[in-house]
Amino acid sequence: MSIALFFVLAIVAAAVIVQPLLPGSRATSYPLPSGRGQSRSARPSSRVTESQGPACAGCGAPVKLDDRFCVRCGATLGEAQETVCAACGTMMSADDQFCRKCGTRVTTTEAQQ
Amino acid sequence: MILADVGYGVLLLTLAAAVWAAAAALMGTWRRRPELIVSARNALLVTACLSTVSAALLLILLFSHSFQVQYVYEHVSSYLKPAYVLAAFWAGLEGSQLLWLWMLAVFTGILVLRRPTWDRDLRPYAIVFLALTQAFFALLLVVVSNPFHLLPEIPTEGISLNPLLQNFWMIVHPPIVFASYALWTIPAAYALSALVAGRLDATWLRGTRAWTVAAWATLGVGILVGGWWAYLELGWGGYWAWDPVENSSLIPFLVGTALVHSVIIQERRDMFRAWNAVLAVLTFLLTVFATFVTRSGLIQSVHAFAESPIGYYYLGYMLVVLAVAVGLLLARTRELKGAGQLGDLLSREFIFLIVNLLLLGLAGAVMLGTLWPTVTESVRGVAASLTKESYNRFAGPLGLLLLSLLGICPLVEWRQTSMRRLARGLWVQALAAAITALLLVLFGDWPLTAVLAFAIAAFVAGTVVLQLGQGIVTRMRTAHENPFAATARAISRNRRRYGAQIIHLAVVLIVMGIVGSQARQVEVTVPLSKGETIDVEGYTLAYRGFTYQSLEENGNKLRNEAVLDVYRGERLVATMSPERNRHSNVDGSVTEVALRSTLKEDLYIVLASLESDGLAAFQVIVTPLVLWLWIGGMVLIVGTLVALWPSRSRKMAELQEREVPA
Repeated sequence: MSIALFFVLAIVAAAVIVQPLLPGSRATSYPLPSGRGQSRSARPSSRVTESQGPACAGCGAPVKLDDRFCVRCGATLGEAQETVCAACGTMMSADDQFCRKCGTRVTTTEAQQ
Repeated sequence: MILADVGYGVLLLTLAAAVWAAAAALMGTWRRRPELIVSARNALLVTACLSTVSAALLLILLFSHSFQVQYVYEHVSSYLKPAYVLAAFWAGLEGSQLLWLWMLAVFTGILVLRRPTWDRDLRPYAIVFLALTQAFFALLLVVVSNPFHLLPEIPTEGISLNPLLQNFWMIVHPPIVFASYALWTIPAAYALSALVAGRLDATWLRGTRAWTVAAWATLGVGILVGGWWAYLELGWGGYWAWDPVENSSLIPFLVGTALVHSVIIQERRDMFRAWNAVLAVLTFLLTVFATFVTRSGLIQSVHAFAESPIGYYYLGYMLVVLAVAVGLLLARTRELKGAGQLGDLLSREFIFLIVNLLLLGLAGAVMLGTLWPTVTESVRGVAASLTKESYNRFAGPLGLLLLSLLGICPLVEWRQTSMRRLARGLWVQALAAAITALLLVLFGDWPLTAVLAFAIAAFVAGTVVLQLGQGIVTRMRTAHENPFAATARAISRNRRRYGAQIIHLAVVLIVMGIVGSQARQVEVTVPLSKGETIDVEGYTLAYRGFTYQSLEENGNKLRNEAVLDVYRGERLVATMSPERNRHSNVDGSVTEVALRSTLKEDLYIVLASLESDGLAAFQVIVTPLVLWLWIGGMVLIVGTLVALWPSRSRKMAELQEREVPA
C-alpha cells in the first residue's frame, strides 16, 4: 500500500516535469527573457483611457502636474509630485506619461477641460 | 515499507525535483529553450505538492502516535492534547525544518503559477535561486535532520512535548515566523535576479512589493506573538529579554524595515539601487542566520534547545549566497548607479536615508550584542553576555529617535522643504505632545524618560491622524459623503498610503505598550497562608483556597493551583488561579500564570511555591499598558491588509495585461 503510494507520486511528479519537454507540447510559447543587459520597454496595455490624469494621493482629487498643493484638501504634493494614477491608484512620478500598472494615459486637468 | 519510509522517499523526490528545477531554468535561459523553463516551473509545482505530502505524512505519524519514528517519540505522547500534537510538528529541529521547506515550496508554487508579466526577464533566475534554496532545505532534511528517522525498537510511550511549549501561542508562533522567513526568500531571489539580468531599475521592487510587505508584517506579528507566548508562559512578567533567539529574529525585522522604506526612495527618486538589492539579500541571509543561531549551539540561550551539526550547513549556505551577491554587486557597478541625487538636508530622501542608517545601526548593535558572548569567549576565554539593561540603554534612545522621525517625515517633501513650511505643518502635533507631557507630569507619576517617550508618541500620533484625516475630511466636505463612505473611498483610492499610515499608528500603540511596561512595572513577592490578604497597587488579593496533589503517579500531570479573589476597593473584579504543575517529562514544576488584562494595566500572578498545607508564595506583577502591544499588533495586521488588498482597478489592469498575447 505504502509502496504503491510512493510510486504513484514519483510517476506523476516525473510526468509533470517531463511533459513540457515532449514534442508537441505548448511550452514553447512561454515567455523567455530578452537578451542580457538590453533594456526592453514595457509592453503597452491593450486599452489606453484618455480621460484620467494624476490625482492627489491624499483625497483622490485631480491635480495638475506642476501643482504644489492639492486644491481640494491642501495636501502637499511636493515638487516630485506625490500623485497616484486616478484609474488604479499606483504611485506615479511627474514625468510619467502612462500609468505603469494599468496603462492609463496621464493628461493634465487642463487637457480634460 | 511503512509510512515513515514513504515520507523519506518523498523528501528524496523533492530534493531531486528542486535540483532539476534549478538546472532546467538555468539551461533554458542559457540555451533559450522555453520548454526547459516550463519544465522547471512544473518541477517547482511538484516540490510544492511533494513537500505538502511529506508534511501531511509527518502529521499523520504524529497523530497516530507512531513512536517508532524518533521525532514522534521525542515530541508527543498518547496523553498529549490533539492541539499540542499539532504544535509538536514544529517543536523540534526536524519538524520546523520541514515546515520551512513546505512554506517556501508553497509560496514559490504560488509565484510560478502566474504567467510572467513584469518579471519576464527575471523569473528564470528567481526560479534558479528559489529552487536551490529548496534543494538546500531538502538536502538538510535528507542528510542531517530526517524527521522520518526510525528507532530500532518501538517504544511503548513517547516523551511528549515540553510543557513550556504546551500553549496556544506555540501552535501559531512558529508557522508565522517560518512563513515570514519563507516570504523573505522571494524579494531576495528577485534582487539577485535583477543583479544577474542587470535590470536594477525599480521594476523588481514594485513587482515584489506585496511579498516584501507581507514578509515584513508576518515577521513583525511573529515576533509579537513570540513575546506574548513568553509573557504568558515563562512567568517573569516580561515579553522580551534580549535573548539571542529573540534578537536573531529582530535583526532581519530591522533590516527588512529599512528595506520597505528605502524601496520608496528608489521608486520616487531612482536612488539607492545597490542599497535596496543588498538589503533584500541581507534580510534573507539574516533569517538563515537566525536559524543558524538557534540551531548551532553557537550561542547559549534558553531557546537554543537543539545543538546539531546543522549549524555548519547553514553557515556554508549563507557564505555561498553572500559570495554570489557580493560578486554580482561588483560586476554590476555601472547599472547600480541610479539617476537620482540626494536632495537638500531637509528633504524626504535624506530623512529616509537617516532612518535607514539608524535601523541598520540598531540591527548591527543587536547583532554585536548577540555575538558578544561568543566573541569574548574566543578572545578572553570567558563568555560575557550583555544584560537587558545594556541593550535597553542603546535600543531605547535609538528607538525614540526613529519614532520622532516617523512624526516628521511625512511632512517633509522630496528634494527640499523650507524650515518655515515644516514648522507650520507641525504645530498641531507639537501641541498634542506638549499637552500629553503636561498631563503626565501633573497627574501621573511617570519617570521623565517615559514622559518624553509618551510625548513623542503623541506627536507621531498627531501626524498620523492628520495624514489619515486630511483626505477623509475633504471628501466629506467637497463630495458631501458621510464619514464612512468618505473613509472607505479615501482608503480604497490609495491603499498603499493609508495602509502605511495605519501601520505607523500600530507602531505608536506598540511603543506605548513598551514604554508603559518598561517604565513602571511593580513586582511584589509575598508568602500567604489560606485566608490572608495583601494589597498591591490598588488591588486587594484574598487567598481563598488551593488544590494540592501529592507526587504519586497520577497520569502525566499534577495540577496544583491557588485561588485568589481580586478586589478593587470593595468590588470583586476577578477570581484568579495561578498554577504550579508537575509534568512527568520534566524535572521541577512548571508555572501557569494567572492574568487579568485591562487597557490600563495587567495584573499578573505567578504561584512561586505551594506547600501541602497551603502556604504559598505569590509573585504579583502589575504592568501598565502592556495590552497596547498586542492591540498594536492587530492594528499592524489591519494596516498590512489595507496596503496589500488587491483593488478592483488593479485587478482590471491585470486582466487587461493578460488579454494581450505575449
